[in-house]
Formats: sequence, C-alpha cells, structure tokens
Amino acid sequence: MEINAHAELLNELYAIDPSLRERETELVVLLEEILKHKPDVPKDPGFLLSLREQLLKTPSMPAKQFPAAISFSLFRQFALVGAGAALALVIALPLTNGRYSLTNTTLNESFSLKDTGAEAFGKLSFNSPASPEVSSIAPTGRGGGGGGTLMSDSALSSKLMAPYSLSSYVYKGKLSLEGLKNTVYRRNGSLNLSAGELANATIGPVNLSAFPQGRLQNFSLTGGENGYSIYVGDDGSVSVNANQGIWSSLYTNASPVTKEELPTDEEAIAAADAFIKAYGIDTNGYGAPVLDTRPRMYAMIAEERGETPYYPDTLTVTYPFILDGEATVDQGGTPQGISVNVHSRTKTVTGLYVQSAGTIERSSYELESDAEKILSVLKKGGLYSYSDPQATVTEVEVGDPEFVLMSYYQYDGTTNRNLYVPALKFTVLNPPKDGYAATTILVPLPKDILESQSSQPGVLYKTGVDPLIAE
Amino acid sequence: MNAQTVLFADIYDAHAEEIYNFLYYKTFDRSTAEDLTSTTFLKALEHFPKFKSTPGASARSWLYKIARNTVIDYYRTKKKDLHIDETWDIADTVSLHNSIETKLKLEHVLQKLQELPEKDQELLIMRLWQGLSFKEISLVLEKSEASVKMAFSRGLKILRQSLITVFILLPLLWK
Repeated sequence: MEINAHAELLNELYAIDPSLRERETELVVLLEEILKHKPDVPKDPGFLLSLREQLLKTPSMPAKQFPAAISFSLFRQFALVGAGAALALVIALPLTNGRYSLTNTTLNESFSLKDTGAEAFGKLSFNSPASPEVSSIAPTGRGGGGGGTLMSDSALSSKLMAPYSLSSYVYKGKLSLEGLKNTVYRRNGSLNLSAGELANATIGPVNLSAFPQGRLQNFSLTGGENGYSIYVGDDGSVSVNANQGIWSSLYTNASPVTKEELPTDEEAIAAADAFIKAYGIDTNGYGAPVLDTRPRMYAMIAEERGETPYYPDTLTVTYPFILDGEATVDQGGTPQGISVNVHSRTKTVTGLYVQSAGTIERSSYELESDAEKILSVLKKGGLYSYSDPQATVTEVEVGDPEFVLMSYYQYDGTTNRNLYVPALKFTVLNPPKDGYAATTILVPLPKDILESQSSQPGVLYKTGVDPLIAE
Repeated sequence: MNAQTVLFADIYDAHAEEIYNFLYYKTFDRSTAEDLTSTTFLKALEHFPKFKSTPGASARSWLYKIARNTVIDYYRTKKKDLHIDETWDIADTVSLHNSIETKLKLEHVLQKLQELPEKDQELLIMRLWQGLSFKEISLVLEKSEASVKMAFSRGLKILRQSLITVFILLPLLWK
C-alpha cells in the first residue's frame, strides 16, 4: 500500500470517528492486509477489446449535448492491442515484506519469426465454433460464459435506437489484387521471465525455493519521476499509468478541455517522444509516431452540426509495429504498436501500452482473388457490419486501398489467439456529417474468412434482410 | 461515428476494466463477470443519451450504479428466493472453488467480509479495492456521503474485530 493512500484512508477514518486514532497500529495492519488480499482478477485479454468493438459498431446515438461536468479520465489502455518487439525496461521490484529485493534487472525481449507450413493455424473464419467476435450467443447475465459475447441478435436489436442512417461504402477505382502477400501471422507472446534470485527468496514463513523453477507470470511496480504504475501481464503486455494522485489533481472539479488547450500534432508527438526517450524505450522495429486525429475530426463535425464538441482529455500517439515490412492495424484501421497517451491540457504523458510479441509464426493462406467479393464486404462496412432495413442508407466513397496486416482473433473454445491477416484498408474520402460512418474500412483477404462471411445468414447485429445484400 | 459515440468510447476505455474487476469481485467467476460487463455497457449505451450529470457526478459512478443493478438482477434471476444480502454466499459456493489457489489466498479476508451485511461488503470493495471516493460511492448507492462514511467506519470496525486474530496476533506469534 502506498504511503499517501495509507494516510488518506486513515485521515478519512479519523474524520469519521476520531476514537479510531487509538487503534492506529491495528488499523494500519488491517488496511494493509485488506489491500494485500485484493483478489487477482483473471482476464481474457481479448474480451474488453472485443466488447468495445462490438459496442461501437452499434448505430450512432442521437446527438445531444454531453454534460460538461462529467469527468472523463485515465487511459486508453484497452484501445490498442499492439504487437511488440525489442522491449527493454529497467525495472525495480521491491518486496514490501520480504528479505529480498530485485533491482536493475533488464528484461529485454525481441521477437522472432518462425516459418510454418501452409494453413498451419487451422480455420480462420469467425463462424468456426466459438469464435469470440461473432460467436453464437451466450445467455446474458446468467453466467453462461461465452468468452465475451453480447446478447442475442434479437435481444440486442431491441435495444438499438432508430431511426439512424447507415453507410454503403463504394470504391470507384479498379481493384487490383495482384502480388499481395498471402502470409498470416500468429503471435505467441507471453511473459517468459525467470524469477531469478526472487525464486530463492524467503518471504515471511515461505521459502520460495521450495517451488523450484519459478517463473514470473505477471507483476506490477511503481517507479519513475511521477510515480508511474507499471503492470506487466502474462501475455507480455506492459502498461504504464500515471498514478492516481496525478489523475486526482487533473480531474477533481476540472473543467472540460477546450479547443484552445488541445495540443498540436507536433506538441503531442514531441511529448510522446520525450517520454520514450526519457525512459529508454526501444522503438527499433516500430514506425514513425502517428497521432490519432479522429477526436479532432469528430469535434469538428460536431461543431459543423451545431452540437457541443467534445475535446478529449488525452490524445493517443502510436508508434506502429512493423511486421515483415508491413504496418499492423486493429480492425478499425488504427495503427498498433507502442501507444502513448498525452494529456491534452498538461501535454504530459499519462500512459503507455505495448504488447510484446515473443515468437511470431507465419503461414501461407489462400487469399480471395475475386475483387467483387471483396467489394461486397467493403460495401457493407467490413466484417462485422450492422444492417437494418429500417435504417436509411447513404453511399460513401472510399479512396484507393492500402495493404496492411490486420489484427484478428481466433478462438478455439478455450484459447484466444492473436493473428495478423492480410487486409485492404480503405479510407473514407468524405465522411457524412449526418449519420454513422467509419473513417476506414478493413477487408481481410484470406478466402476462408470472406467465404465464411458470405455464407453467414447474418452478421453479429444483423436483424433482418440486408437491403445491401438483397440488391 | 458521431461525437457521442466517441464520448462513449472514452468512457469505456477509462472504466471498462475496473467495472469488470468490480463484477468479478461480486461473482468470482470470469465468464459471469464477462457476461455482466457486456450487459452493463449495453445498458450504458442504451441510456447514454439520457445520461444527465449532476454537480459532482461522474461517468464512473453512473457505470458502477448500472453494474451494481446488473449484478443484483443477475442474482435475482439465478435464484428468485434468494435475499440480496446472501448473494456473495452464492458466489463463493458456486465459483470460488474453481481456483483453489484463489480460495486459499482470499480465505480469511473473504470469510470475514462475507459476514458483513452485503451493502457494507460492497462499500469496502468499492473504497478499498476499487478506489472510489466516498462521494462517488454515495452516488452509486444513492445515500448521503455522511451515511456512507459511517457505514464504512462501521464495517471496518467489525472487520477489525474479526480479523485481529488472523492478521495481528498470529504474525506476532510468528516473530
């Protein structure tokens, strides 16, 4: 327990009941023990990402002014699932009640590429049994499991708001599929770190050497000038967050960020660069930093609509992970890699997230060669598009595609595997201002995935005949 | 994607993990926590346009309130005759045995927490494990801040009495 938090809790208690001061020693022990015994929470790394994606695929909500007093906060640590490489961190791992501390250990992980045979990862398509992103529907709220599913199509559709407009995405050029790389990648990133001397430590009555060959599965620590909290997950992910004290000072009764306070692109990237440099984070294998400018664009659209624009508390700068010379993106087209959050008002870094890669296997898969099939998926807005006959449809033109590696989750019923599949990224040329439209559309190219899509009677949120398909 | 969807995404990014954690602490079952998290955010999405702020209110309190109601509904559905004060007992017997390691680790604290009234349990969870302020908790529970503080103090006093043997006297014997 941190000293400040400790003192804060005690002061709160004394303010409530001054007689508790007489029990301070006991209280300190009690609070420490309750905090120490905070249960570990098991997590499926893909669940929150998948849920986010599914939620945001719903049609746009009626425009209303957002209450200004709401404090948005913290860190977009779930927004990106990067594939990392060459990550070096100097860590210090103190044990509060042990006789041992591990300091200045260097965790240096580089990823390696391993070739496998053709179609070595099995079936990729999402309608194979128990894929998490478009799974069969698990009972909601009844403990039925299902690895991050939402509710049934019909149940969900009853909750969607109408009327709304949907977009039909059209590419007016000639789509060439010649010479595209047909490699699919599978990430096997996991924390693989010896416990070192820690494995022989004696902590209280327990000598850890009684459990030989101990390895670290995950750990957290605090450090850095501002007391950042650092969490290293068993999947090899590293997240760095500004401590609660900083957040409290930023958000307690803070007014919303204004347009004038937003950093310029250069300022945001400079802040991220400074942080990367200050903490010696190795960006070898990553591309030049890119600022996510969508919040600025959305604010501009809101202004044009006469709505109150929202200027985010944090902006995200990403150093894209380059795999085999290709950019990696998530299914929304956002670059993946080292993600750095910069506070809009203070221009300081409030968080960083990266997922180290470990070993990446690669395998060849047959790609779709029929341009019309690709364009039909594009037209609907990509894989997990929403269709509803009640919605009005607006045609939206997209520009020339870019070849990318798209993050894709393959679930075999027990394990969620992170793949990167070849995909075409289409950028919307002029997003409509009066309805829902993505800024980019990703169409994966493996035939397996696209055939599955076309054979499906409906995609995740589909509730009836799709007017776009029925044409 | 319109501006409000972006706002919702921001709220989700900021609070999804802690809401999942909270629901896990209320159920001790990963799949159930995932289902309830999905339901919570779907409800949040549905009601987002109606969401009104009050002075001092936060999206965080609003989400906790939805999550808390969701878990209450869940247990009511699971066993209609069950009183809400007993919900954690169900969670313990149904799910905690899934992980012996977890059970051992939490045994003392959870056992004693379970002996508290359900509202005091979740009050301690929200303040100590989830880091909510008393103000935020008062909004979640729709109680005055003063009554929340008193309940917290009362719960901690009870817990101190019941855990004093485990955490204070036994370590002294070990020395």
